[in-house]
Amino acid sequence: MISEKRLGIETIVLKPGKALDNTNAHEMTEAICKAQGEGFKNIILDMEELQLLSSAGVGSILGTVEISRDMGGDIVLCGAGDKIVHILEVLDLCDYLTIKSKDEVDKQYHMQEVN
Amino acid sequence: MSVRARRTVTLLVPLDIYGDTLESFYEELRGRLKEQPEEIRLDCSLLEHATSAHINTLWHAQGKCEDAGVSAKLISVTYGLERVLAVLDLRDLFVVERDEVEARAGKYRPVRGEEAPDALSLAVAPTVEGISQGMQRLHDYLLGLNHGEMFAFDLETVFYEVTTNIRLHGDLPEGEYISFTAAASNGSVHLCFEDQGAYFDPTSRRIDFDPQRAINQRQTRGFGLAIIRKLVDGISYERQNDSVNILNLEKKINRNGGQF
Repeated sequence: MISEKRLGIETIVLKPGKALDNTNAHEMTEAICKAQGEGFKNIILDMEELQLLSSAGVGSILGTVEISRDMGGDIVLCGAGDKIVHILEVLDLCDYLTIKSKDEVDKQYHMQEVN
Repeated sequence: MSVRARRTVTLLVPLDIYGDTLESFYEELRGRLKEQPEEIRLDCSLLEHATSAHINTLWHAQGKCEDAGVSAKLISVTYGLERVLAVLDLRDLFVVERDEVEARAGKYRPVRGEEAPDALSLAVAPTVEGISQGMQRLHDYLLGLNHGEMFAFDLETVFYEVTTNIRLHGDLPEGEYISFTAAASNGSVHLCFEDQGAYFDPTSRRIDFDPQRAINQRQTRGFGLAIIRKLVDGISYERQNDSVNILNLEKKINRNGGQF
C-alpha cells in the first residue's frame, strides 16, 4: 500500500513502506503516474522505512522520473538508508537520480513531517 | 573351526532428524554395531534437501562406526546431499559409493578445509510468502557467518531477485519448489538455486546497463540480472537433463559488491 501526502499543488510525498518490490512496484508506478497526471511536478519518495528495493522497485522509479523532469520537477528519493543507497550505487544510479536526506528535503520543500 | 561370516548392514538415514526419529536411528545403529558387521551402509536416499544437521548426523554415525571398528559407507547419495558435501568440501570425509550421482557431481573439486563451515539448505515455495520466509532464513544464516550486514544484504537481494524471477517467469510445475543452498568455503559464500522451470540461462545474456538510457527510454523492467551480476563475483549455469536449471553464484568474502 503506497501512502501519499500532498504538500501544496506542486509537491507530493509517496511512501512505499518497508519494501518496494514486485508486490507493490506496479502500485508505485501507478501512484507516480497519477500524481504526474494531476500536475505534481515534485514527487518525493519517502524511503526512511524502506528495507528492500528490488529491481522492480528500481524500475518504478527509472520508468517515471523523466516525465517529472519534463514537467520541470523531479522524483526525489528521500531518507534512504545505507542499504538502499548501496543498491542504487551498484547500479551506478546515484549520479542520475536525486537522492536527498530527510533534512535536505524538509528545508527545500518545507515539509514538517513525512508520514 | 567355524568362521562366522561378517555381513553388510544397510541403515536408512532419516530425513526428520529431530527428536525421537534421530534417537531411534542411533539406537538401531548401536544395536547393529554390536553385531560387528563388516560394513554399515548409510542409505541417504531421503536426503534430497540435506542441511548441515544431516551432515552432522552422518558424521556422528560414521564416527560411531569407526569407534566400533566397522567401516561405513554412504549409499544412494542424493544430488542435494552430494552438492552440500561438495560445496562444503566435505566429500573426502566420507566414503561414498561411486554411482551416477557421484559421477554427476564430478565437476566439484573436493578441497577439505581445516574448519568445516556450516551450510543452509532450503526448499523455497515459489510464492511471495515462501520467498520472504527463505530470505529470513538466509538472513539469519548470513548474519551467523559474521561478514557484516551489507554482505548479508547483498546476498539477500540476490536471493530475492533469483527466486522472484523463477516465481514470475519460471513456469514451475504445480507443487514444485526451488531448491536452494548457501555455504561458505574457501573465502567465498556460494549460493545454488535449482528449479524445474523453463530453461533460462542468465549467463547467456549480455548485461549492458546504461542508467541514462534506461531513464530516457523510461525502462521499467530488466534490472534484475544487472543487480545480480553486480552483487556477485562469479556465476555459472547448467541445464541438467533438459529439465533442471542449476544456477551457481559466488560472492567473495571481504568484498562488497563487484562486477565481473
